[in-house]
Amino acid sequence: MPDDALDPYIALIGELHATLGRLGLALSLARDAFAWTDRQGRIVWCNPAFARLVRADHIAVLGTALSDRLPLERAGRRVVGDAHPARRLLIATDELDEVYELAFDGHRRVFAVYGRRGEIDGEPVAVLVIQDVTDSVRARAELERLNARLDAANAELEAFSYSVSHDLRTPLRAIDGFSQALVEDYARVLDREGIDCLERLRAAARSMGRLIEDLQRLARVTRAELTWTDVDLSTMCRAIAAELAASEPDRAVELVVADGLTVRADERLLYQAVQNLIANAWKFTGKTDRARIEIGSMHEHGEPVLFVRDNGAGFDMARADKLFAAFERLHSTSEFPGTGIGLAIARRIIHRHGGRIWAEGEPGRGATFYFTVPAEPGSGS
Amino acid sequence: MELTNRALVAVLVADHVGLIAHVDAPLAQALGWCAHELVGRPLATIIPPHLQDAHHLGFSRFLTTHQPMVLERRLTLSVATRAGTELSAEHVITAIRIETGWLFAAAIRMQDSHAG
Repeated sequence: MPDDALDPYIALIGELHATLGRLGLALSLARDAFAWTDRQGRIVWCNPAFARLVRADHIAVLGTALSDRLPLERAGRRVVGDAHPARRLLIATDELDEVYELAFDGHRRVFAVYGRRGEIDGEPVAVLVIQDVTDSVRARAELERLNARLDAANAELEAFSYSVSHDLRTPLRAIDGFSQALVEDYARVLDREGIDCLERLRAAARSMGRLIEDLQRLARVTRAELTWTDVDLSTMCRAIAAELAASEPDRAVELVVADGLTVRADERLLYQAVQNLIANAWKFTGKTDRARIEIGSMHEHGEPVLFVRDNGAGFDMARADKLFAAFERLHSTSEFPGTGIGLAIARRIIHRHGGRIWAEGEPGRGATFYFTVPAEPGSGS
Repeated sequence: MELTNRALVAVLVADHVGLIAHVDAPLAQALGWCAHELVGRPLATIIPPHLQDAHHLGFSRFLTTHQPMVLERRLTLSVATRAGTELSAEHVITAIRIETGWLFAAAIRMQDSHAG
């Protein structure tokens, strides 16, 4: 065979070296530790992250048992023998994704161990990827601790606000009742200004009563237990819109509800949330010619997002953070009536479902309220 | 000549493709080969199966990056004999840049005990 007959093969080997070199480089730069074994469980390759993890030169690691090099622990006990992930992949499991602890030089850290069994020439090999998740596990534990504290503080605050609002109603009823008695029994001895003052007093007492009722509604939403069911949101929205239309038969509002909107949620609470959102759209299109309200769904980052869109008064995005705060109003009461509790209740209900709610708007050009209702916790979907 | 004598150092040279270009006769014999039989064969011929992935990835990576991970330091590695047994040997490997690419030279001293 002439010498140059080998040239294509030499070139091919060069290309394969280049590809393999880039692969080796990529694996060597990975922050996670990689190792794979032969059928006996001996390490045949590992990247520098693995060598750093096990505090050894990568050459010294080769040929040694992965289960010995990686002294995994679970619940304070060393995982040995055939229970070790590297062994299980060779004899029992095709894939595993588990969390273990490792202690080197007195430093104990948490690792996610992901493994797959491969087959080369009919023989099993184990491939392991070991990721240090200590920081995220600690952060999650800290978050859970803070959430528990927050829940406790919220519960205390809710109990307090419920109790205060309950206690306030008694003197309020007295103010309203005695004011009414004054108007009815002493109208003769009061002049017009006196009666006007009493009427204002009663109106203020009634207004305060409504605020207290709203506070209690908000508190009830927080305390209610969730009962998860499949909810036909399209039908629910049409029913809510029909009620609103019946309450104001003179208004002509074009209502568009997408078909097939379904979520898994607490139906009673979701009804309140959606009722508040649609009522909000209904109210703020009150001064709009050719009012239109659209209810539909879209996808954002793979997650279904529901929306209620109107072409009403809209709002200034610079004040969007105040939209969902209790008793905050972006429009004057004389312009659009209300206490400002509806969106606060809607937000609390969506949050109770583990969802998100936000809004976009522009003055005079309408608003869109978006919300998500994630799958029921623990449903596995 | 036996290569189990710790004082003896043999030389093996491989080209940039990974083929053996030269091997000292005593080393070839210690591994069950004649020197001329080994020349032209892949380096993997004398590397035990469990070290071949690391060899291929490391060799290719060096050719790609020119950054050594095992060069110029004393390493104890197993080598494979023609019969499939493994022997332990000390290696010092160096890379030499030549006009047509790289040459890799290893100074190898067999150890007394068998590996694996």
